[in-house]
Amino acid sequence: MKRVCARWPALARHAGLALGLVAGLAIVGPLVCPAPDTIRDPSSTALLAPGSQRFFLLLADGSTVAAETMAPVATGWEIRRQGEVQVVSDTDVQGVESRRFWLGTDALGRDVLARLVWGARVSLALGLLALVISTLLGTLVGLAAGWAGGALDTILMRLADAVLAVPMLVLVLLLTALLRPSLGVLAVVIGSSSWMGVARLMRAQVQTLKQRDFVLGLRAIGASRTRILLRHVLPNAMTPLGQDAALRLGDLILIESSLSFLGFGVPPPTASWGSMLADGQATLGSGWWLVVFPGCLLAGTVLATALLAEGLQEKLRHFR
Amino acid sequence: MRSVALRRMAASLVVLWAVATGTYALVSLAPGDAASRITDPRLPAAARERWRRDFGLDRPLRARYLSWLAATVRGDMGISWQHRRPVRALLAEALPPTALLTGLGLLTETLGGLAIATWQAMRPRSRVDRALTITSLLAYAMPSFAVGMGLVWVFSYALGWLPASHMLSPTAAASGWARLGDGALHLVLPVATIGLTGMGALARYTRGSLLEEQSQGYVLAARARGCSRRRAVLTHALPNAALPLVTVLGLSLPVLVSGSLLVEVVFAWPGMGQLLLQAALARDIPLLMGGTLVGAAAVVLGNLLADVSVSLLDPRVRP
Repeated sequence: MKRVCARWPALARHAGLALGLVAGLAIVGPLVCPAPDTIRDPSSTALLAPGSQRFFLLLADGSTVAAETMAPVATGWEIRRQGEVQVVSDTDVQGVESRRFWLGTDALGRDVLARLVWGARVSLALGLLALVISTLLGTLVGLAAGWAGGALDTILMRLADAVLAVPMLVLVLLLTALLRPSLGVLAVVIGSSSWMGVARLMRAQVQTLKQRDFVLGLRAIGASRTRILLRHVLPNAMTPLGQDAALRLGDLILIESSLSFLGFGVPPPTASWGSMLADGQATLGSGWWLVVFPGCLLAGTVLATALLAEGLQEKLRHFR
Repeated sequence: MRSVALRRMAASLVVLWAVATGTYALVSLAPGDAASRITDPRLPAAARERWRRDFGLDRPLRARYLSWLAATVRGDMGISWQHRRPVRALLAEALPPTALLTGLGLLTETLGGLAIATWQAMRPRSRVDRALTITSLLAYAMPSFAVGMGLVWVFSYALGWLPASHMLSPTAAASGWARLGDGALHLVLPVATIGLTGMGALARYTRGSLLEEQSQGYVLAARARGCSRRRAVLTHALPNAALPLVTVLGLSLPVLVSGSLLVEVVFAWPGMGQLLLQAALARDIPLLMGGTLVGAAAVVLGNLLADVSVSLLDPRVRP
């Protein structure tokens, strides 16, 4: 039994740490980072390279002016905006603020870092929500099919085959065309098109567990079928679910980002990694940072889930 | 042998029927019917009623379903709302480019994955092996559209070697070798994208099964007889490890099709991906239903081929 506490493989530990960091980014980040869609000056719609700084002058009439450089002169501020130098008199200026865009801005002048952080929330939340939905659905179907057997088993498994036969993207496109996409609908759509693996896994587990002696023993001492199923078979059958879930979370995050990339994700002003990549495609020649940062974050997250799944598998192997 | 093939075929037909029925049920049970989807909301109620009657929408669901199924079996999938042309003709136009792209992508993926895995299995736990393991995991984790954009950035924008999108240049010759060459150049980046993203998972799987085979008695016996590691892997372990790969490839088909649809969108490839994306944007239900059926048929057919070829190749599963 001492192997139960076997150490996690180093890679899996790092992966877990990385996932924790991304989750922290998604939870804490938006509290610290200003919302990316508050463009204070619509005229500052420029693609800014990572690390560039921008000045904002708050004018007396409440409007904002964005400037590339600014210097104090006798009568006020000399600013350069869009290549032109102009002087704003001191009496007009209410406040001055500078902001550095560490990861640059997109073509609408929005901070890429802020969008990444806020997008992390959308991508992770959708991935997790879809994971919960697909796991619940798959467990339910798998339990029913494995426990009941017979006609119900055949029908449910054929249904799983049928859903599995439709390429997921096509299915999701059809569903989003039928329903108006929102965060909840999207999670249901993605979740309900990816439950088949769980169902097969649970069915196989239940089928083997059903034959085991402890089930027979429970039957002999008079336990009801429902009780055996819910209290004894289900907990045992759930062992491989953790690893499967870790692996699937990565897939679901990828699906969400593919959908957002195609423009079927959460509606526009809300950032998601996939929609950021889609924005980046339009300006691929001039702004590499719009593709590289969300792409790396997305790939890193999915990689971390895959490594975590591998670690879980290793640990479960020791457990057995 | 023949009875197995027939049984599998019957099962495939059942799956296809289930897909068709499920799709129809989804579309007809979703809120709002065809009348409210296509007609202008300002249309007077009486005119809409007449429209519904003209198109048979007032008939009971079962009658509508049966006539739809009969038409679908005959290959008539209705008229696209967006293009005002038969869905069948639209799909028939879009299918060949997609089949070309997906087929070549599958080929690249398989050959590349096998080569990497064999390379790794010949020197297990070496530095190269470890580096390639991480690389294939990374390839699995990268979204295909991001890989595609990366390749475009490097090879089209930075180096200017390869075209970034479409199937042919607008200035391509009308026919002959020049046209073929132009087409081939346009194929390189999308095929590489599909191949690279698929390779990772395949290489990981094959490496695992190659290493497993290598600890089997027959490989150890071959090694003990003085067979080199290279030879043992290539001629003894590989054929046995490659066999389950056929099934794995068959099962990975839905992912492959979805992936190539995405890649098509990145590269403005005139295939099913673009067609279905436009259909989804325009809420063109008949076209989407047709696309779902064709996609499912491709997957089912691929699985069937994989099953039959496994039973042809492997004497153990032959009844």
